[in-house]
Amino acid sequence: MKIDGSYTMNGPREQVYETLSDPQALRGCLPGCERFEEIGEGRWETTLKAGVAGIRGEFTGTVTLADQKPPESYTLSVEGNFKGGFVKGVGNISLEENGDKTTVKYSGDGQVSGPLASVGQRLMTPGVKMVANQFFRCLEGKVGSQAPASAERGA
Amino acid sequence: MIPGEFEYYAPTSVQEAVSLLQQHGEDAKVLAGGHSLIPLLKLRLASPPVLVDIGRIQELKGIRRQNGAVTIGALATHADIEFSEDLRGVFPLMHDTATVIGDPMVRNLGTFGGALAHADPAGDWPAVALALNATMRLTGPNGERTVAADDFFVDLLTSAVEPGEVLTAVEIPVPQGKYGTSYQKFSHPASGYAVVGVAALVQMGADGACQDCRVAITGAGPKATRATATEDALKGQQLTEELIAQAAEQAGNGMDFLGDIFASESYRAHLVKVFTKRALLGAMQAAQ
Repeated sequence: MKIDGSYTMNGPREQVYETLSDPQALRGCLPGCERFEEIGEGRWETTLKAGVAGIRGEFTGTVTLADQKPPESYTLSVEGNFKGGFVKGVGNISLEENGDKTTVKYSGDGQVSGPLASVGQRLMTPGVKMVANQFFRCLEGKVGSQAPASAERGA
Repeated sequence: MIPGEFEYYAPTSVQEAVSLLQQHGEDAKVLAGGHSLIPLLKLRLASPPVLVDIGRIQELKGIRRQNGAVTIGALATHADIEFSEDLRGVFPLMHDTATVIGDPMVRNLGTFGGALAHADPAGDWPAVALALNATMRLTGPNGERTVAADDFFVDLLTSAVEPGEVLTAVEIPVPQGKYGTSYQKFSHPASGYAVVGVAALVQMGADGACQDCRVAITGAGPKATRATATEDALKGQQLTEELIAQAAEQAGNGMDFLGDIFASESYRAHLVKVFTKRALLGAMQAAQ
């Protein structure tokens, strides 16, 4: 399953990158996040209750941020289990300046097994896109709130 | 293929259903005809702890025509619509749409309201509801409210029905004067779902020009959407086959197309134009 999409958010690229790679912000915006524990450099173990409408499941696995090139790009890998299946995916997230806004582009490739993959194929790609949009919308709300932290670092 | 455990309630009034939904909050899911929900339960893709089966609520059944509108109870089955002479007289597309949904077993049990509330991106009724400018009636803990079809389909599998609310009926205004309707669908050969489906309503003025028209697309994107650019290109014009073909080229503008193993994004974008043209031609002919 291939996923491509983009989301344009308010805020300069540096600030957006900071939010998108901030564990606290990720934790707050991952859908139905119940657990988000650091298990290594840029690696977290997480439990999410995610889904679309009535189709929901618990996902347990690891999230890894790698190849971090601030403020341009990083890769995000996800690997784990949900009820009756296995999911593994790698995505590239890149940030482009777009006036005073920032366009976040994501493209990824994933494998999903289990009943969701065999019968839910029709709904999976749009479902992932919908969850991704909710995720970025939530992160967008946190971009401004981090201004004090970056100002402090600059001083 | 055996669902997980759930508590089961079968209320006999809308009020009782609403209070059960309120009591169980996010744990509860409404069961109507069950032709989308039961397969999800059997595959354990959904496992709501509580099911509120509204199937025995008499007040949700039936199709009535009164005061220039048709009111379809949320529990009317696809077959009820298919065989309703009343409905066929005013909106032939409702009969035509019902006959291309699933198979007779699905049509005998699946419900109109269930299909709308479920908001499947490939469902047929969302396009019809949008094209006919339907109004949804919902009952919740705070009483009744209405939502226009234009505001009802929010996103993939997401309708404006809030937790705790039940979709009770759908009201469709019968246009004045000469009008025609049509639904054109490219069915998936295996599932029968719409790869692309387009519903159209064309209203003619006394001068023979297109007074109003509504075109809605399903199957192509995450939710049913109106083709407003196409509509605008036709309003106030004397309709010809050429003009409709031109206007149909704008259908799907700005839409986020779905792509899958069966039909790519660009193929769906192409189908939208072709089926918009067919639906509009069908509606124009019916209006004359």
